[in-house]
Amino acid sequence: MSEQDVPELLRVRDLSVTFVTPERSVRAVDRISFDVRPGEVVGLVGESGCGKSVTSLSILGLHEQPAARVTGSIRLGERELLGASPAQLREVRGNRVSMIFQDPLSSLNPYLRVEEQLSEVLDLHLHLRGPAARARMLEILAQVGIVGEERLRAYPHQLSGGMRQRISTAMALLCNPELLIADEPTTMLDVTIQAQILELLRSLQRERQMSILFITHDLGVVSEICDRVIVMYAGRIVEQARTAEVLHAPLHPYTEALLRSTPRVDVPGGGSLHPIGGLPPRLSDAKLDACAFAPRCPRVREGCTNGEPALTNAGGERLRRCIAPVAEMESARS
Amino acid sequence: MTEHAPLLEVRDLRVHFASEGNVVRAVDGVDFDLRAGETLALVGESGCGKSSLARALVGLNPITSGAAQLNGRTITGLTRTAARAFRRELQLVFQDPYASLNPRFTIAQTLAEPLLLHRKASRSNVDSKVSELLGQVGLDPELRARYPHEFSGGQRQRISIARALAVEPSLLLCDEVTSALDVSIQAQILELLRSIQRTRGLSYLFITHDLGVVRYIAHRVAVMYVGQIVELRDTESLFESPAHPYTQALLASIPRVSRAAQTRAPLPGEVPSPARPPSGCRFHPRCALAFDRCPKEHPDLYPVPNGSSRCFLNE
Repeated sequence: MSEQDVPELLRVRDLSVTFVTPERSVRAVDRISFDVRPGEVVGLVGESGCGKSVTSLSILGLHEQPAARVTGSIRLGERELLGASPAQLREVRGNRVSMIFQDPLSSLNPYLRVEEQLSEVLDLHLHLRGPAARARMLEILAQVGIVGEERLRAYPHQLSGGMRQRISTAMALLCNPELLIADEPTTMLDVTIQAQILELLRSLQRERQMSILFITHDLGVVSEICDRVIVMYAGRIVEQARTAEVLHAPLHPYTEALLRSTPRVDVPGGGSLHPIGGLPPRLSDAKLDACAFAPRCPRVREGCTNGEPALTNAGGERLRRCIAPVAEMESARS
Repeated sequence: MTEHAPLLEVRDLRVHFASEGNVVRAVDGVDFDLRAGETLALVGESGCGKSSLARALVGLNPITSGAAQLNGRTITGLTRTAARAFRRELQLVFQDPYASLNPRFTIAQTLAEPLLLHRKASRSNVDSKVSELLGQVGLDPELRARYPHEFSGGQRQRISIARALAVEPSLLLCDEVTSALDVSIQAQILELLRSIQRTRGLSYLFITHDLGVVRYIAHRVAVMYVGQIVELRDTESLFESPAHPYTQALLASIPRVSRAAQTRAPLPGEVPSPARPPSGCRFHPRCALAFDRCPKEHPDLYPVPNGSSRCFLNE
């Protein structure tokens, strides 16, 4: 069975998220579609304001209505999540989908010991109490590399950043979710601790055949953990491909520019930096009459301001939103 | 002063804090020189003492012992007037430009204040000086009447840099200046800092946790671990052949675009508290190469090619 035939676990279609304020409307995510298959790690990559976190919050139904208008379809297996009742969403959250965040302190209750945080989840979702719950807690803590009962009695503030992220990961994994949404889970950590957490997520994902939607701005982290990558710019998907393709042969000039503006730890002098001039566009809900990246694009040409380019197939599973993609220009030149 | 004297000399500097009956040895015997026109990066993980050291140099943390000299003048125990003159020589740029810019001041007011205070401009030419500064950091002088909230993060960082440059310092202390910025904007700011250094011959003490940024911007690198420098090298030597096991582990743990998911063993454990540093070599509990001498004796900095390393294996 080829990969295309595997039924997807998460199927997002034409998802748009618009924030409405009395002054103006901002479309933070604009008609995006993607799949996550069972056991797959998909990276959602882009800079501040590109819509990657807004997308992930939509999956769990965490936007405040009616300030956020969410349209389209988000299916988890057979179940449609958009428009599901709060009770249905609660059942999905924790049981089938969980989330870890950049700042583990924000997802841990400062007044509760680790033990109390974990037992609440077990009680609520799995109806586990007493010794059975305790055994499960110790088992899950061992899986995230925390041994012994001492940590169970700690309050979040008594733990280091890396330890807190392990606890919130343990909490997210308690109910064996099919999908883990990880929103910049290592961004606040030191590199040696980041390496520990990435290694942990990788091994847990392999053991459990869990899917991960990994949101990050760090292309190095992407290369460590993701099978496929979706690059977002101004609320749109601009490129989607396997990790190696995106990192080593990007098609969209924005992806290329991101790579070229990142200082390289593995190249003498940090490599030559090519900053992207200008700033990302101010989002509104108006229809674009040009490519969103055109004003900053080093490869901009005449047709780029002639309507917004469509997201088109570039062979295999690759998608790109560009009328003059990088590789084609390179081969035309040689 | 001879021509070859370093711009900044730091000798056996210690910054200790009292906390709940413990002594926190945040900076515990640091020595380094910074030459004119040079960029020295100070790297290390949270709690290694890099920010405590930087804050001590600008007088925001008391120096417990040791000495620091800038341009041959001692930093410690200055009178208020001397301290002001000193601060003109050494300017700071912070991670979050929004927190360090006065929200009620226009950009012109923000830049005019240090110019007038330190007599780098007079009432009659302050406007043209402000425009000149804005031009130097790549901002349109027409924007002078705007307030900080009207600018993006990258533009605000340009404004903080302009403000630091206003008093013509010889040393800029950059504390995680690009950490809050997106990579495309970070690259703009790094390029700007490099070009300013070329034109003004300015020195940078550059504090960052991002080793890619270090390799791009720094001439030399000091790696800190639990309050001490464990390796001090030329940038390329450090990245090509790191001498200290901690530096090796640090470099190995950085995710790289050029390397697919790999099977390296992450460094175990966590950085120990500077209130209770391990005996002997402070890295020995996490070091894969530690041997019987490491927990017993404290290693010195030993010479290695283009620098020094605090490891018995380099003795």
